[in-house]
Amino acid sequence: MGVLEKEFFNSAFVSYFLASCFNIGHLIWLKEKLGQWAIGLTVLGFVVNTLALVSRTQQAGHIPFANMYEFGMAFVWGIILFYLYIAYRYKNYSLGTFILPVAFVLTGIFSSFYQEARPLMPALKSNWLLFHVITAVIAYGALAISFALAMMYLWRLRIENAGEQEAFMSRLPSLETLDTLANSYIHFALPFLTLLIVTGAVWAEYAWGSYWRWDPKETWSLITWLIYGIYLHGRVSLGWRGKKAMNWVVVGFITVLFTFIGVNILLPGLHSYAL
Amino acid sequence: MAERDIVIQCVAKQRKRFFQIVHSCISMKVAMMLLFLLIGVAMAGTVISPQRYDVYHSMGFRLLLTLVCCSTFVCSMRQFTSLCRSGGKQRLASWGTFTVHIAIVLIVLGALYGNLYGFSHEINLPVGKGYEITHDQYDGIAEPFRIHLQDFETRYYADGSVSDWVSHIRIEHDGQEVVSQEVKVNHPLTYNEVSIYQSSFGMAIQTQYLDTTGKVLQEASLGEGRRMILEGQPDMMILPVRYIGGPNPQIWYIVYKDGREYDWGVAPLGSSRFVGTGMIKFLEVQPFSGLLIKYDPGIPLVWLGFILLTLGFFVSLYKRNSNRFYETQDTIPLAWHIKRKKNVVGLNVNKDR
Repeated sequence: MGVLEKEFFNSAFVSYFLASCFNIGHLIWLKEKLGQWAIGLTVLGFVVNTLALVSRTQQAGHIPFANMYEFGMAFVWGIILFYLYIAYRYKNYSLGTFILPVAFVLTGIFSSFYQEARPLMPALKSNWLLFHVITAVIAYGALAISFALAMMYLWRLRIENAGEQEAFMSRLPSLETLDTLANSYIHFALPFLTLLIVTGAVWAEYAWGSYWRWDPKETWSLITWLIYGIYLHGRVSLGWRGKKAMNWVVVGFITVLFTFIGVNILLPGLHSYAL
Repeated sequence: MAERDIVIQCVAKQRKRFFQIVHSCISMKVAMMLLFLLIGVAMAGTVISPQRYDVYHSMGFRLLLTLVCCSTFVCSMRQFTSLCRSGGKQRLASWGTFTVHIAIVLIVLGALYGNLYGFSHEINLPVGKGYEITHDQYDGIAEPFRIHLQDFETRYYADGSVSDWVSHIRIEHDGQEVVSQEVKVNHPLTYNEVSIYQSSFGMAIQTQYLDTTGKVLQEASLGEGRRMILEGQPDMMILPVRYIGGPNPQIWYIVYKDGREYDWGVAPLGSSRFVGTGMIKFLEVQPFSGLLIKYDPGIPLVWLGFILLTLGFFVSLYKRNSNRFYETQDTIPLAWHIKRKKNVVGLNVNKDR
């Protein structure tokens, strides 16, 4: 099964792409069949994504968290798991229109960084790897959901401001709900984002003899944390709600993506192996 | 009497103005501006090369960190006083928020304490050689000891990729062995609060500079790529680039003059080459292990800060969430509910038709 890993991940890419198209179609034409196809393809994508993770683990001989391609697989898997949980539990699939395109674009990006499976390099041979990356999957997955909710908010707001009365609006949660949901996902994610930085720092102390070296990855993870910190303060103390808060949520997730992908490509430091 | 009243009023006004200024300085908006500034400077630091300007160790950045830390401390003190007065549902969440702010201050204090009273020093130790950790050189250690590198090896996986770099270290105290351990990446050795980390490795080349009669003018053990300024000729440097092994081991070297590449060559071990007014000779080559020796008394404080930070965040945000959401009729519950209670879900979502 190990040799099929790349094919599994590519199949996940195709499934997520088709699910995005069906989700958008479902929202535009309001056909139930399209919605069913969308959720079916999302489940299919999730299954092959899981198979890709399993076969990679089998091939590499360790949990597949050693580089951007491997963690990318887990990241997208986490996003879809969150989405499927919401869709199943609350029987509302409209979020898929916004989250599936994110998943499919990320799958495409991570596929382009494919590397042959190989054993762990000395710096990564630590139990901290598991804790560090699992917290990353949870935190980044939930922040991706908050981003999709914020995009949904901004889209709905734009349509409402234009005075249009589209039929699909009935399928979207209200602005107030979207604002509250995006906020609650950030609240869910932030303790894990903190844990992500803390586990990284403690691990760095054991591996490199310093818990903080102002390495670009470390610095950008701090910047991401501070951006969400500003969001929390703005919301609690300055009453940020609606468009202002949602714009900040979008900025936060763009920073997450830069910390994870951009830094590896543009600012290699101690984490240069992550590419 | 009236004059005294006027003076008292003036003092009261001045005090009021002072507290107004202090209050505005520690207001949320100022704290947010400091955070924005910190983000901007931190971003700039990742694109400016540390060789050109080390942003994170500059006075300006340290001042900014101090201001952020002071603002956080003042904020947490205000939270503390209001927490002591108030009660209600948000109480636990507010204690969590207070803990987060205090934890940040603890981490910064721990880092500062470690910087002031700790040390971090990298050494290249050839196999078979020792290194003394003494009070004179390393202030703060409990008692002096000696690090002895018994062996260094690179371990490989079956596919040929590197599995580990391993230094076999022996710690000696008063000539007696007290600890013997393999030091690997992710597996440092800690003795008397001093930690020894596997940092790098390479080949140490015993290099001599001689005059034309063969008298040794200068001798040093150089790592590959390390330069040596020649005695009596400050404009000239020798740089052994690489050790080339095999049955006839050789050293590939470059000579620099006035900072520019002047000459290069390959010299077998033991033979000499004319460089400037003298001769250069590479005697022998020994593998060395690059070890980081570190003592950081601030670590317990930082670790405590990390634990409080994480716990504080979980309590602050999860307890707050569980109180915030409520259920309304004709709604589809969509919100993530941290606490699995029936009444902790979302707001007016239209039903999917």
